Amino acid sequence: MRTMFLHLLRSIKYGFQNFVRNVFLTVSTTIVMVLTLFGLGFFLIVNQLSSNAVDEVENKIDIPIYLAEDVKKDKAKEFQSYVDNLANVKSTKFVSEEEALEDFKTTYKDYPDILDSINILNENPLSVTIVVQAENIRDYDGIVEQIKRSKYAGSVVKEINYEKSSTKRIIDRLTRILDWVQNLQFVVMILLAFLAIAIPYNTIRLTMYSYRNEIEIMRLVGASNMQIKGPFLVEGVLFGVFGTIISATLLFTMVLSLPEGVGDFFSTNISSYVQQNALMIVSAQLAVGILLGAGSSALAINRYLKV
Amino acid sequence: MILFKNVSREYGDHNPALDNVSLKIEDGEFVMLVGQSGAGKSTIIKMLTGEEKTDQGVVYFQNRRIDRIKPRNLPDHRKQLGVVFQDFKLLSQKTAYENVAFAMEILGRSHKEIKRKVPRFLNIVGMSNKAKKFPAQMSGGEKQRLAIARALINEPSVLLADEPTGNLDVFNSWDIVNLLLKINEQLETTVLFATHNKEIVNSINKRVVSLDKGKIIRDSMEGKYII
Ligand SMILES: Nc1ncnc2c1ncn2[C@@H]1O[C@H](COP(=O)(O)OP(=O)(O)O)[C@@H](O)[C@H]1O
Ligand SMILES: [Mg+2]
Repeated sequence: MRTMFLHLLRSIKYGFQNFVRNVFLTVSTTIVMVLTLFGLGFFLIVNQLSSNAVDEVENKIDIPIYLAEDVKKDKAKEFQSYVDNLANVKSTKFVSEEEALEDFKTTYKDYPDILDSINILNENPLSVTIVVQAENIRDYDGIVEQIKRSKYAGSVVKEINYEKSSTKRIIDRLTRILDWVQNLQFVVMILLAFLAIAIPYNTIRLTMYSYRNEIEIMRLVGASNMQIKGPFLVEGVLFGVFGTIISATLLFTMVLSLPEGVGDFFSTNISSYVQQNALMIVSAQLAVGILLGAGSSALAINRYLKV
Repeated sequence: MILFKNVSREYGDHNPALDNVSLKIEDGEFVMLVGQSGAGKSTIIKMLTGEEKTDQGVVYFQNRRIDRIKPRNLPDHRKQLGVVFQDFKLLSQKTAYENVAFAMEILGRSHKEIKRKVPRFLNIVGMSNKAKKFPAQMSGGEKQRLAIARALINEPSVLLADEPTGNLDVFNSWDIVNLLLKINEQLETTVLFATHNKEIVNSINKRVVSLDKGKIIRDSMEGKYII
């Protein structure tokens, strides 16, 4: 037990020693690690920002369901709760005749002709409207379809004015754009993951290759596999740790010095987002860095441990 | 005690590297293993370090069969040996002190013990003033003396030296030979010394085992280099 602890301490000591003494290897491996982890952090931020932007657009979309004029308030409420309970419905809003009229008036306040034609009528021509927002813009078709097949269709619901509406056209176009963006994100992620694993792994493999004589010598004087591996694993961890420190510093400096316009484009405050999620981003970088560093070391070194 | 019993080894389908070799070395002996390049000297040493296996025959080390030793038992076996090579095999990233200390560390020796013992052994091989130097900053003779200090630090019962003077000039070669003789006499370490240096073999009057094409062609006390 005591010797195990001693070996562990010595592995740590020699891991640091390798790291400090092999300046060239350390610098080149750490640079690769920094680039990888920077890419990872950058991807995390952009990913979050673009999903914020998508949410933002999605939040602006909803569809109105106009109820028949003679529907009583209870019946309207009953219908609202029915819609609320449908799958994929995020929220509903009950708009009374009066509110509908107010909305109408504010919407067309610059069009006196239209307002006049409303005012000529003695009674409110508008009916109760239930405004529906879906979890996801792809869900609207399904929700409308379900409502049309429900017992409320024809009696309670006057019309859904969805198929031919401009909202439908916007939703369709937006869906296509989002599909495209998501495919792109997926491709970029696969590519990044591949590079993020392949490049550090190969760099560390080269490092271990340059240590092959040392490893052979250690074996000849009787070092066990664990005694040989220990320091290199520690060194791998150090690549991850230092890679994280440097790449996180670079990333945060860069993001926090972005002009504000960039944040407006994504309709978020980037710096506050980054500040709030700094811990998550750094943890992700650290986890990936250590896993990559130590994992690559372990894999790369095994081939020199035979015989 | 080291014992080879009818050991043969062939690499590929060429001539055998070892051909029915039988050899017994008692504790405390000083044995020269001589023969031209390619005679099979290194193969014998490698069987003792567990780097090579036999095709036929068995090898014993201190009454334990080691020709079929399992990889996981190799480290413990090697910790009983001291090894010295023509190309020194020092750790280039470590200083003289650290190279010797490393051999103690893998046995799990304490820091205190290491600090007490390493300077003593550096002193024995005359490397005290180079303790903080790296191998790249040493001459060939110094590197080999350092390698010997590392080989001895754990006080092994057997020291294997595979052409330790191969890369050294005459003066440094004698330095190393005398060091090995001293170790054999004073520490009673068994020394197996492979070489093809005729002068050395003829001058020191020790047991000589002569190899040719993988066969032992002569084994005599106070022998001469005859090939
Ligand atoms: N790894 C190997 N692969 C193929 N042939 C080898 C290998 N090692 C040694 N040999 C051959 O075995 C014979 C004996 O080699 P070795 O024991 O190294 O001789 P020595 O040390 O006496 O010069 C030589 O013919 C050599 O070419
Ligand atoms: Mg040889």
